[in-house]
Amino acid sequence: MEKAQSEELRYKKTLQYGIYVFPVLLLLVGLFSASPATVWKGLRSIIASPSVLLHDYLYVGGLSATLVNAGLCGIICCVLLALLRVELNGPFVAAVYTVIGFAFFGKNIFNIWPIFIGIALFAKVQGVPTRNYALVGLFGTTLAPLVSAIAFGSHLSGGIAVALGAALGVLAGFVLPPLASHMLRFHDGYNIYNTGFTGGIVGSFLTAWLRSFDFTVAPTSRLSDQYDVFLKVLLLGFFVFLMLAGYVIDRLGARVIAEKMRLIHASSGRLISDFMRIGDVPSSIFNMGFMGLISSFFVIALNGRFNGPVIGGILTIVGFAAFGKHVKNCVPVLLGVYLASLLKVWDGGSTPVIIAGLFGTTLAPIAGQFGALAGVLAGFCHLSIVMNVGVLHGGVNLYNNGFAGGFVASFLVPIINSLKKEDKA
Amino acid sequence: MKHELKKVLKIADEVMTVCMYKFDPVKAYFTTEKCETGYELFFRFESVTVSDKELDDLREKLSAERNPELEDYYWQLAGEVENSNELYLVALMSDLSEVCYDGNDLAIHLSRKAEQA
Repeated sequence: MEKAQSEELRYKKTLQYGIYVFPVLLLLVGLFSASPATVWKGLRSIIASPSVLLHDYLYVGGLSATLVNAGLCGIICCVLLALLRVELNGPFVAAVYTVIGFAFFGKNIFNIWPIFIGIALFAKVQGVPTRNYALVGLFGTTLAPLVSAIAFGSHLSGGIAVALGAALGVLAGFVLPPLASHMLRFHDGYNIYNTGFTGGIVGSFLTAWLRSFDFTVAPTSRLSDQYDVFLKVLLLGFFVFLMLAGYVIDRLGARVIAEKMRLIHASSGRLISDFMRIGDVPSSIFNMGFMGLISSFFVIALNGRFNGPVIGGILTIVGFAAFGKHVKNCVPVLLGVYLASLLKVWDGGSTPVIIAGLFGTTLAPIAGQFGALAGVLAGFCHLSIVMNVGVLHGGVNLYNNGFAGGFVASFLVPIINSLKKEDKA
Repeated sequence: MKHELKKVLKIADEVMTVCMYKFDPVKAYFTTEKCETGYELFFRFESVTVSDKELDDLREKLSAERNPELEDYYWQLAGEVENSNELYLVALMSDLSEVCYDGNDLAIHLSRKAEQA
């Protein structure tokens, strides 16, 4: 028993410091891949971009500035969690990697802060510790483009635009915690990106208001394919490192990892499936690396390019491989989206379809709970829905697939449930 | 803390849902006591067959430490789905858990303190 407790303590310490590895790596690669002047210029372009979907920061600010932005955003999240004394687990690892992933196309070191402030204000008003809403805070940065869209993409200019953008961000952060908790009931936890669904609702409300005051908020498409090979090498290398790290941290060997992975694979992935508890920390890290490779191969198999949104999709899967996603519940959804692209009007190798597949794994719990066929069906439905809901929020909700996934899950799950024969838990 | 009573009822709903579906008891009881520190919840399921593996699984899931960071976000999921098992979420919302099985009846005791800063 004592040995198990000391191992658990060691895992906690490993996680506490290990979470910094990836953002620090991105920061260092970014800083050393260009001159400080180039990085600074790119970073300024990133901060001053409207950032609504799909603003690829690799296109806007270049490789080095994007990596620095992603690294800094990740480090900011880790430091905030440490300051709030949050104990790291699967959900928080997923949240940090999601922020890093979206810092390639929509989140930056400026626009995430108003959301955090709104969350902190809500906690203050409720009289509870801010850390109780830390998870919603990190995921809540899905609405960060709302800040940038008004500050840098509206007909207003200067201080007024920035102040209004920041105020809207604070407002969005303030209303997210109660809504995020409530929206879980809409899909019963079968849509892993619940904050994306919530962000879609909040974003749609706020965008509708803004449009009624003559603001233009609309999705756009600025994508880069310039750094494809470099990013493939960097990310694939990191995913292999993660798998090896899981094995090394375990110390007990491959047999134990395999045993824990079986437990992870037996989980449906429905919220809340913390793989760091269902399995353990090493097996979750191994699963993160493995899912990184699987999702990268999905992109490569479809002849996709590694750009900002695609990297965001891959890193989000990697993060959620500690919190609900594994090969058995993700692959059916990826297959469903791919099959849909063959029959529908969209090109299977295009970035929108590829990210619909990657982020469509928000529906992985449907495959985990009801079987692979249900997962394929979910993926098949998802592509059509996600291509049509973005216009509602004008691209200010970065987790557009989470928004679409909420609708797909709430539509499919009751139907699948009613057709089930068994009635056992 | 806000929604305190509703959270207690959600816990009760989840435990009853999981055990009623899983063990199909002849009789099931739930009682709760409000005390100075919070709530004590007692569940009893009569004439049930629980394997050692199922018992270990129950104990393991309910042994997770209380976690306000996850509780405040996910508490509304408890008791919502008939074919799922959210006992881990129940544990995240409880300060203490005890599971006893005498070969015929299954008893679960949960304790939840009202304030958790």
